[in-house]
Amino acid sequence: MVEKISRLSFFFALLSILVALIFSLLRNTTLAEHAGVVTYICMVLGVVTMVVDELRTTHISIKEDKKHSHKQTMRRRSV
Amino acid sequence: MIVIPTFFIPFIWFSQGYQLFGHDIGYHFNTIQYCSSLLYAWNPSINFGVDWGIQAPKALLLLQIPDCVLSGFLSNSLLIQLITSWIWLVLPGIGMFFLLHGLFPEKKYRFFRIFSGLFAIFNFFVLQGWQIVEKTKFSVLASLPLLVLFLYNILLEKKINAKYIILIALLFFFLNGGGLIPLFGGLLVALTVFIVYWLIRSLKLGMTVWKKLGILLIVFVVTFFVNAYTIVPTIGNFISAFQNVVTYAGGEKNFIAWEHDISKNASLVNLFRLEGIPDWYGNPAHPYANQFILKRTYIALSFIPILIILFGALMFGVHYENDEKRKFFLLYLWLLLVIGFIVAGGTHPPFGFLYAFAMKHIPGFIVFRSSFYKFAQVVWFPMIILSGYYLNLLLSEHVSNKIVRKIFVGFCILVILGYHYPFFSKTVFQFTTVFSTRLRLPAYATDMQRVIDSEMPTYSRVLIYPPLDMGYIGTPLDTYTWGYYSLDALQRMQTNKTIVANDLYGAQPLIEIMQQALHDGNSDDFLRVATTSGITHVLWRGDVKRSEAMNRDIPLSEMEQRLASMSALKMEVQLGPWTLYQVDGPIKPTIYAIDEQGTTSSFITSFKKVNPTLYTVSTESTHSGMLQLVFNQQFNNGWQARANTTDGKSFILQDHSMINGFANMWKIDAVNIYSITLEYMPQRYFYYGLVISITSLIGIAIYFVKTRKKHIIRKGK
Repeated sequence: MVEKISRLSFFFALLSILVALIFSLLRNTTLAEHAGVVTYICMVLGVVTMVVDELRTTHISIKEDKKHSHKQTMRRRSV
Repeated sequence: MIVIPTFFIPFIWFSQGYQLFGHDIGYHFNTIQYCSSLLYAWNPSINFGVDWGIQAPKALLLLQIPDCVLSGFLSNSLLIQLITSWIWLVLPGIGMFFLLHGLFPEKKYRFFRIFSGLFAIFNFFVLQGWQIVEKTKFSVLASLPLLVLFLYNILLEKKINAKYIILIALLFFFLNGGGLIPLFGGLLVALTVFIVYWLIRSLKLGMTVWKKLGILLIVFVVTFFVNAYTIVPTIGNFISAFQNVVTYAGGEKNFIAWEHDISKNASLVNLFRLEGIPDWYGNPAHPYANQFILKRTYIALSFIPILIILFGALMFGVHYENDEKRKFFLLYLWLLLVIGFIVAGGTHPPFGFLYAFAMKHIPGFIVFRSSFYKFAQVVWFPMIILSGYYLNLLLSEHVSNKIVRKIFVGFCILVILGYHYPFFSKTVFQFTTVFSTRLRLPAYATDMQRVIDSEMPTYSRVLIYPPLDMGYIGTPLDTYTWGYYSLDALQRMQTNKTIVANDLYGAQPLIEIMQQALHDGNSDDFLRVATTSGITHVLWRGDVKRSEAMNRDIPLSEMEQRLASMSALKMEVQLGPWTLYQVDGPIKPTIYAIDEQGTTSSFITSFKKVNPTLYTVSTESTHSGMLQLVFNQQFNNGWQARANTTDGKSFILQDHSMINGFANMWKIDAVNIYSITLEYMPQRYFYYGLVISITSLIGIAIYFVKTRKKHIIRKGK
């Protein structure tokens, strides 16, 4: 879910930067700046969700690693 | 690979005998003399002397090493500048390459390393610095990737290698930004984001952080010790200097107004395009900016890096990497990027209120005025890496044909070089239609330098005339018809003899009185001030380029005629449009004593200048009565006079004040005094710092030798 939000945010960031590009080519600086602000907001949302997702998945994988190593130690002891 | 395109550039810039000097370049034709002046906290060759600890941090010495070393072997200043310029040109790229090679060493990332390495050299933020050969900025640009690499190894690797602690200290020893704290703004943000993100991640993952935090503290301490030679004097001078700087530039309000002006084009969309550079806008004479602002092709091209990054984030995110540490690095870059846009944007909306608040309410933040120049690094740095990374991924994931891949790589490199074509142009240094920093020094200027250096006594003081021009930007500028433009008088770049000018180095009223007397052709008024202030010569420069405001004054030819007809001046030498006059009058020596009636006393028998911060004065011990000891250097509380008496006592002269509108004076009861020592006390900060630095460097050398020996023994076993 979090990853989906991240991807969606980057999708909208990409869309709005394309809009900014079009306005820049049309030399409409004000609208290009507004599109830039939208891009930035989407980018921030994308980055924050990416960081949250990353921390969550790393946490899970470390837990699993710990479990796995614990199991291995127990097995060795029983042998 | 990344240095190949740079080989050609210095040969283009330095063709036909042109060199880079003027504006803020601070290039000195007398490199070794200039470097030796940096060893002292007082510079007597600027007007009546200035505190050189504040004006020129000692760290500048290290940035001058390439010039100094080459000066020892080569006499051709053009060749020296060509070689050193190339070194500074490639350094940011080399730093970037090392970072990426350290983190992404596999063959599949080869294009990434080359692309980002080239982009770190060829970008408009760097090129803007080249207009004024900002070595200080280049050193910070080169140090950031290396700092990130070393921090990465310290904080993310399980085993702590002491080598990286020392490498960080040495990094800031050599690439020290000239010790100019505001230049480290971007680097500080990058460092803070790294540490905070690492801390959050470590705590969230339940890792212990205290050990690593302790290591960070050691890094800080070792870096402090190694760089103590510049940090100790800076701390010593900081409080008073900061107060002076704020007052000198017109206070906080002016700084905030300046910041508004600097960041008015740093909008988010411009930063996305790696633009928003303040001197690009509203400047029709800019050598290349208008092409990039107005032409649609360049506008479209400027969006490519951000499009690659956003497309890459959409396609791959950071999950493409299996390595947790690399994921950390990529997320760090993303975080730095989103924070970088806010700080580099300064007071520009929509987040400008935050920066304005910080300037008003955070003590010391005012030094980070000119937000763009101080913080744009934290936009460029992640953009350069992320665009290279995602481009590399797109290439490796979607292009399987080797030939097509090679063609694509070549095309991308050509696009980078082609888009930044101004790097290969000579006109990049032309900042107005008249003025440039790529110049040829006229032969008469070099000849005059030889005359001043070889034929004039060491205590000479040369007043330059016509005055520096206030009409361009409201601040005195030295400008010449052949294109020179700088806040610093050209002659100061040429000689170590004292050059006096109406600039911002103090005693302006006194200098203006003398220049007005020269303007009026009034010998009496001129001599009255010149003799007490020790002016020995006047240098007429008939090739100055006057502003419109100054042109309203009498013509230069009439000014020159008036000068030539003054009885107080004797023409000594004329070289082209420059004429050197000797002041014909009883010039006061550097140190003398006067009695209560104001007549010169015989109390002082001789004096010796040990160095610019230390003078020893021999006196007549049989003399008695109250005297005034005058020291013809600009008044500064840092100067201390210590008297030594015949009965073996020594005491500090307390009654220290200003005389003649600029000089130091001590009232002295001249009984049994056989010598006096004049010392500029802030110099001691440098000595203390130097002792700490040298001791630390010796310690580091011993550590390296010992670990090397251990390594060899282990290998032998």
